[in-house]
Amino acid sequence: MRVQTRVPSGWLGLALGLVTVFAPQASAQCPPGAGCTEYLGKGSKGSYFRILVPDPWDGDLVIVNHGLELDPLTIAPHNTCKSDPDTPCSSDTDCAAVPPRSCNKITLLGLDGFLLPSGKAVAASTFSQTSWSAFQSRYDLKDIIKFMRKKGPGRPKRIVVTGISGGGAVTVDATMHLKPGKLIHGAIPLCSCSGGGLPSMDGATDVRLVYDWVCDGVPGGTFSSLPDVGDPTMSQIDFAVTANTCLGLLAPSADPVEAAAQRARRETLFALTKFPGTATDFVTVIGFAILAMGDFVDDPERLNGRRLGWNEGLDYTSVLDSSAAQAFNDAVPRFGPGKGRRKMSRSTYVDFTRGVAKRVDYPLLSFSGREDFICLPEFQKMYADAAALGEKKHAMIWGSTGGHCSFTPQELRSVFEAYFAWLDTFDTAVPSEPTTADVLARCLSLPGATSSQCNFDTAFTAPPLAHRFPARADWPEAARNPLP
Amino acid sequence: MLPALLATIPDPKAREAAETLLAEAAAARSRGDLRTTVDLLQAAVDRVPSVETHAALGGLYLEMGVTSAADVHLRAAAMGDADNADRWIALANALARKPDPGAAAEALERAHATEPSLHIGRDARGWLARGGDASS
Repeated sequence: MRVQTRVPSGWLGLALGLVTVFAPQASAQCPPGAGCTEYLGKGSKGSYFRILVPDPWDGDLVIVNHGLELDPLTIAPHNTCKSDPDTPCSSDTDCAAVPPRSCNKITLLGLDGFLLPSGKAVAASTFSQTSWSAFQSRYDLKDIIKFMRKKGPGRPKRIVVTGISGGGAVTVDATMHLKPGKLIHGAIPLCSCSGGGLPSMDGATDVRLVYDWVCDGVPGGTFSSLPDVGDPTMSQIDFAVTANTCLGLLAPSADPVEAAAQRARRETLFALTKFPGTATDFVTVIGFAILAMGDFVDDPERLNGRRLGWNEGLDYTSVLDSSAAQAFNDAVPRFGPGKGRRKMSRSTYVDFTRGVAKRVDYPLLSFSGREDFICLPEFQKMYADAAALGEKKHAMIWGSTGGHCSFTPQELRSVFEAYFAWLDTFDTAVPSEPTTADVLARCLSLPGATSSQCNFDTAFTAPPLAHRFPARADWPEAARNPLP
Repeated sequence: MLPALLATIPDPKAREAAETLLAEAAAARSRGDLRTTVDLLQAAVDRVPSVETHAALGGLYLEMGVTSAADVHLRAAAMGDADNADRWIALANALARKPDPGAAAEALERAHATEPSLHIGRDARGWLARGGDASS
């Protein structure tokens, strides 16, 4: 195995710079023999990217999008110390003298392990924005493609975009905005927050409103920020301490009376939000609603402080079946459509019946867990319905492991192999559109695979998003009026 | 330099300081004082950057959802105690929550490499763990 690394000379200040430096690496899964070449570069909006091209290369490029990231220090070159991009590293120990003592890696999520040996190039970007990066992630992806064409091995024959969690949202956005047949030829959203901007943020706001109602008046347990604005200045530790004070999620009170109150609040909150996960899972979700939302609402380049929410006139009892639903509905603060909604809609709106997305002519394959607690199955149904309304070919694969993005390498490999079999036959008389059962069978047939490595649910169907969160009038059609 | 196991640190005062801070952190957590717990564990890492102090702080960060910091500390613990499968499982949990399933799988491979007969499943809270259910 051999990997050559090519990075631009003086690249830190240059966009799409030259490639001159060669260095051996050993981590990528390159084909035996000729190996592969690694290209490192910087995008026009400040992102950094990494491309691995195997030899021989079949001409396909898979762009792999990472999940939501709050740390701006991760927008840095591959294999350099966070906070000091001039210091190269291969592991954290190389950054022992550079706080936060962490070597920045541009992850390929392990997909290189089976894509490179099959002759496909893989690439990943840091994106140029933290948190909800779909405002301009499409430009970051275009920079990779431009680099391939101008500085790399040449224009890819096919470009397949994939990504996990928030990177799935980036993937969904790519299907909305990248020109089919030129910049994108396929897409595989993985445990994706597929609802686009408004449904995702309204769902997060509703969870936050429930938290605020349940924790109202608990000393040290409330957040001062507006529920549809969040707080970009709050540290993750302060946030977790506050949530724990109200709910006792991580360290319940030693006072038995207060511990019982924390438990009661927790139970009310979980019932009202129909939350399927654990205490730590809930910390993640409410963290998105406060920290991640605050990051992009506050950003002058994104919403510049403009409010995002809208719940005026909504009847929460229509979606909540808890005994506390009426009391919550009566007490919840109401606000009209925030001024940030228009930009959010323009930036990320899931609709295959108009714009560039109307011209999508390639298959879409989604893979998600039936118990995902953050990128909910309801969001997958919405994306599937949007594809159906636009008469696009979309297939949904359901995993059965609990949690968010809990995939094994075998599951991911079988999903990708099924997708490429579909893509390769898409224009034939007999396209090989996969089902969950097909992918399960493919997974079990992988060398050495066991049933514990192939966890799929062949019978699951997702409920509509509007059964979980009250629909807003400016949501995409697929979210407001789900298909039967 | 990789962190060492507390038992191998030659300075008895450093060992004692680390053990005291770890015990105080556990006590703070049991009385519901999460902020003091974090502060004490961070002080433990700063004072004695050992396998155990990194593991304790990283584990708490993981539960708090601070996955990037959890990754750093749990990786340090795993690298410093590389023959201990449980360190790699803990790191795999942090990586899985980022989420980076490929990196998590690599950490689990390291766990299996140290204990080839190891069975890893999920515990009642959904964490990757020894035993547990059948999914790994």
